Amino acid sequence: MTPLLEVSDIQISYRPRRGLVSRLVRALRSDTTEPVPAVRDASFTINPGETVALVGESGSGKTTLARSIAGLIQPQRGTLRFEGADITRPVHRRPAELLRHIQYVFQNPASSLNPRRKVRYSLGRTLDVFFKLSGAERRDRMAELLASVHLDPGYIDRYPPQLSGGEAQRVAIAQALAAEPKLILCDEVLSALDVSVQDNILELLRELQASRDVAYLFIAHDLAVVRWLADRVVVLYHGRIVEQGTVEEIFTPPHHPYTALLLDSIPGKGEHHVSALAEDASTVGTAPDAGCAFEPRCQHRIAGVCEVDDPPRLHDSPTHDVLCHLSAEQRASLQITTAAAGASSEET
Amino acid sequence: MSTVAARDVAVDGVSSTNGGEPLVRVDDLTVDYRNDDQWVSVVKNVSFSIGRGETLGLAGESGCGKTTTALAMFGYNKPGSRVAGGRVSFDGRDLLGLSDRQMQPIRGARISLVPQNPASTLTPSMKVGRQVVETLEAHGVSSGSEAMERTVEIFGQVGLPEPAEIARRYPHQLSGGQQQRVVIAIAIVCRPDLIVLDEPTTALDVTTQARLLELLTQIKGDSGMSALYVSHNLGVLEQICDRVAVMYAGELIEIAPTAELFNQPRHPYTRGLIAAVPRVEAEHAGTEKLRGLLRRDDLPDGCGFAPRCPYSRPQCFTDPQRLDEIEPSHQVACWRAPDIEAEATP
Repeated sequence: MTPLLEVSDIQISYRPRRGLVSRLVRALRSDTTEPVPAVRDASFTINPGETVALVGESGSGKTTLARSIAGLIQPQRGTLRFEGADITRPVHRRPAELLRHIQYVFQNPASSLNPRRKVRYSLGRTLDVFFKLSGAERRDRMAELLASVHLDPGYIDRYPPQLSGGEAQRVAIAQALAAEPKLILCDEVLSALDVSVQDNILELLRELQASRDVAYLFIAHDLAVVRWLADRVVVLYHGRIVEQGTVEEIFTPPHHPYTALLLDSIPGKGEHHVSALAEDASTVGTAPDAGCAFEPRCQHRIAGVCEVDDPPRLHDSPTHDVLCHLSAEQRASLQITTAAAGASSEET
Repeated sequence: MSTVAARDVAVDGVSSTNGGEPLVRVDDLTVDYRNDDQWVSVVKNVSFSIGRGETLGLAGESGCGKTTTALAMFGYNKPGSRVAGGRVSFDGRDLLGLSDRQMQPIRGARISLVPQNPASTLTPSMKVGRQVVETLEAHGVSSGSEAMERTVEIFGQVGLPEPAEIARRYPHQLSGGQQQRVVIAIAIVCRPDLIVLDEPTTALDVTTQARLLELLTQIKGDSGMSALYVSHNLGVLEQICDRVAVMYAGELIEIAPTAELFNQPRHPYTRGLIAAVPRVEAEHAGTEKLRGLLRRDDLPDGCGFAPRCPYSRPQCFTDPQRLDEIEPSHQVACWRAPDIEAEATP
């Protein structure tokens, strides 16, 4: 089967500012450092109708990667293929058919919908751009789209500021669906919403996938929300894919130490036992130049190895990759020990 | 943790170790917002107390009035709103009767706030260390180099790396997690009796959130300060609170010690909120999920939650519910609570 989307060895760096002042400041500070790539050597695939979750902290490169797939950022290296065809080019040089097939839903619905235009306008615009509908056909299509995201037809005449966060996010999803895409890039679509509303939106996304066979790239910083939605999970740390596998593989030990930290950070399960030792991003500086990027925060680091050599990509299974110096056996024994320690401390 | 132990910690907000009067007592608080020419109550007859050294969680969805309730601790409210009734007493004084001038020495020194978005709280054009010094000077705690020393010390306490260096930075040079640590430092630097946290981790990564919750637990343990923690995520409250109060459509609908609330939630809405917490372990049962949204414009005369409640009966739509004690220190506003227990566990 040809994957719907194939991301191969993508590398993206943000250019340093080229303005006179910025260059002067750099010269004065004798700052000659090359920019740290926001994404490096990223490779993964999305199959038709599949949900792949892209998980990591802010600054890990999730949104950068999604934006490159949408053609909003041009990668320095690597290729993007959609249904086998090379699409590594900016959005204005992509054919309309491709634009229709890859849609984007943003984190904050309030800022992605035009506040001065009714829902009618936002939905209609997508229909006008991709399909030449008019009259009753156009009206029916809009009503159908609203119904598919469980909103009453009356919402067509509302302005975005009159919508709650959950309602606005439903409109944004309806707008993406209007294009009848094959892939929707969902960029932290839940993080601005209440947990109870998150639950509803997750349910909606699952339902739409079942009826329309659309694939999702679902970006999140919280592993718990992807547990019951994703087929596969890609974990990103400092621009590198540190682990990827099926959802079962990701949630069953042995994990990459960073995945273990993310799992342990999920609120609502009492005592945290792993993160008590691990640092969070706000208490450590930038990633080191050499060795494993996660080493300064890793509680299982091997002195003399992890800070020196780049970690190898280990294949725990044909579908499961881990970027780590520790073998699967080593990780398994370490993570079982900490889990057991945590369990016994919870009993007291 | 057993429920018995939890009950020892707090019965009706009074810490058993300190005894006596709770630090905060809110009685029948009602707050109105102006909507065109009418006043609409967004907080209705809310009563609770916070014991000394206790952390109370205030849970609910957007628009339920939890932030409005929390801000009443500062004796003021937003423009276009008014306190229509009730009392908020803090250490024996009624805060709602105080003028802005009388509130000044209390705000920031005895009661402090950690808001949701740290970036909008910090002054962008002032070095963060200076912002802490300013707080110390404004309350006459210390000044000059002594205040700066204290600032560096408090930055170290909230886990900021290289505190002296961080103090010389501007807010935009810090990450979101670091900014929130600075805001927490400002909030605790005068050693207040009460800290009000309004969704302080919502804008942050889960890893940063986990560390901040640890930090807050540690601060609480070291200082014995009381806290009011507002969140839509019961999972977060479970981790840090001694007791949790749940609000719906402006009313308090359940309040109980944390362990008891999670082991035996009595109100159908609380059950739904618990089911909504994203969890890794097992997918929650479909029947408990919350349906629909809180619609302020469409509230029945009776229980506000009735339109979304899977257990509602015709009386629920007509008869208002009040908080009733069903067990010591566990109150719930639902007349069907006893039946629901039986219906939910067949």
